[in-house]
Amino acid sequence: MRIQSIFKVLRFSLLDFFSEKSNFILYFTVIFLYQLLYIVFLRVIFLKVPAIYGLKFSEVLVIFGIFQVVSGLFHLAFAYLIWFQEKYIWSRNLDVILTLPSNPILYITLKEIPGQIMEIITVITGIVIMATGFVTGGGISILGLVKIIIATLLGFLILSGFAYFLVSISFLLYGRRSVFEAFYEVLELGQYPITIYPKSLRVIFTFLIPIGFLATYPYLSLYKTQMLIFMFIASLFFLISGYVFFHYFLKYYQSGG
Amino acid sequence: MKYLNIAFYSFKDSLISLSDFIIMSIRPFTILFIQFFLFKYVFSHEREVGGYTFSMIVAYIFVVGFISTFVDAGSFPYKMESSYIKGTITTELVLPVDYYFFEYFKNLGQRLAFSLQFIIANLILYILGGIKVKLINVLFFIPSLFLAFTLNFSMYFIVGSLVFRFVKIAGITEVVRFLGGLTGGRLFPLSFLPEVIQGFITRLPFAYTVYFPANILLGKGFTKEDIIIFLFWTFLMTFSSILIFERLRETAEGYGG
Repeated sequence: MRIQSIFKVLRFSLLDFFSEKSNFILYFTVIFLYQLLYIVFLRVIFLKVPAIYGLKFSEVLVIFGIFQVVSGLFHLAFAYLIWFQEKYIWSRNLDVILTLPSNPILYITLKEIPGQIMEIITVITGIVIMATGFVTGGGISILGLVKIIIATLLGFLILSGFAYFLVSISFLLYGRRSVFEAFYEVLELGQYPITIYPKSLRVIFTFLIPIGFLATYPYLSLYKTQMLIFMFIASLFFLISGYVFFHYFLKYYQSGG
Repeated sequence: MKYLNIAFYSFKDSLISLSDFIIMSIRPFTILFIQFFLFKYVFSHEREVGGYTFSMIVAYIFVVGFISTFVDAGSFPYKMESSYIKGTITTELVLPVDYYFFEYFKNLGQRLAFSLQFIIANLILYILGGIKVKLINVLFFIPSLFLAFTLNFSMYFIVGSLVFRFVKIAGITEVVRFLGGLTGGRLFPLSFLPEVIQGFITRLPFAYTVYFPANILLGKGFTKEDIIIFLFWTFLMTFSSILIFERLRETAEGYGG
């Protein structure tokens, strides 16, 4: 299948998903209730304190919304990491993909997106939460909106680079499916401002596991343009190093066939 | 005796897969981590909130982590839905065991295995953290924990039974999970809520699945009325679940196996 045909499949699966009304309502209910639970938790915390490390409820709501958008996009593109070993290594599908004249990760990502199309709802609800945060917090300028969109996309790119790295590890860790599942759980730590964690953890969440780029740094880029530049550099770093890692560790790939 | 064997083999089976065990261990700790740092901030401003000091809230989140992992039955309706759709439920229903008790003890063994890490974490906290727990509280806590497990399992068994009527029950399951998460005291003690809401929520069955047993262990006290309501909900839900299941399975049309 060529990349163009994958885009066609993607378009049709999106149309198919939204045409099934019950599907949409079901996933919307599931995702919305899950997010609502954590918003209520936040609200209860804010009943006791007026701000968390200088951030008001509306600001934390924006961070929570950005997290939903970035993690929704990440799950949409890379949820397959959980079954990557089983589907592509053990069943030898990767052998064929590696012979194709396209980037294997991009190919697999585009091929897997239709199956995860419901994550679009996470992205949509994330945007609604962000908008609610902005409206209750006094609005946002056009420039601010542009900044937040760019920063959110950069956050997604940084995580994508990290996903490359995770795929690379899978060539060494046969059968360690849990590594990825555990990673998805750890990502949840980024749904609140990383300023709540001690400094040592913040360093880890910035340079080792890019959890800070999920929501906190994209939000901070609204006020500090330098943060946007930092995110841009970080995205290049994570994408390039992920790509290099992938091709380096590919040497260790042993086909099951 | 055969049901205890089911629980024992389910317990053993859950510990066979290391990857599953790691995942199940990491999942509840992620939210515990967030709770710890958010509450740390709150208690740096307030000495006492809702009758809890910081050391008490740390004990609370660890105890609640254990209880909610132990009593969790949220995935049971999905298992029943899948069995019904695939048709394998017909084979399960003809087994020479009572379906309710079979699933109850299977779940019990599994939950005990997945909450092992919390038992260890709580013991460490008890030994190193200087948290004092009276023996009398432990003696009351153990039966309350099993009653809470029965109550929670029965509620999800009712939801699971609805598969015979509606086939797709993910939406209903998620609503119940949401209510359990919100009103069960899993994210914060219910005493953090305004009194009017608290008075209502603490009378709902979900509060008795987590919040109430945690309060018993932590010595927060309970009244005769609390015990009566707890027993009332447990018996009501258990008998209703068995009755609803028996009534609805009569209407079901099974195929496959």
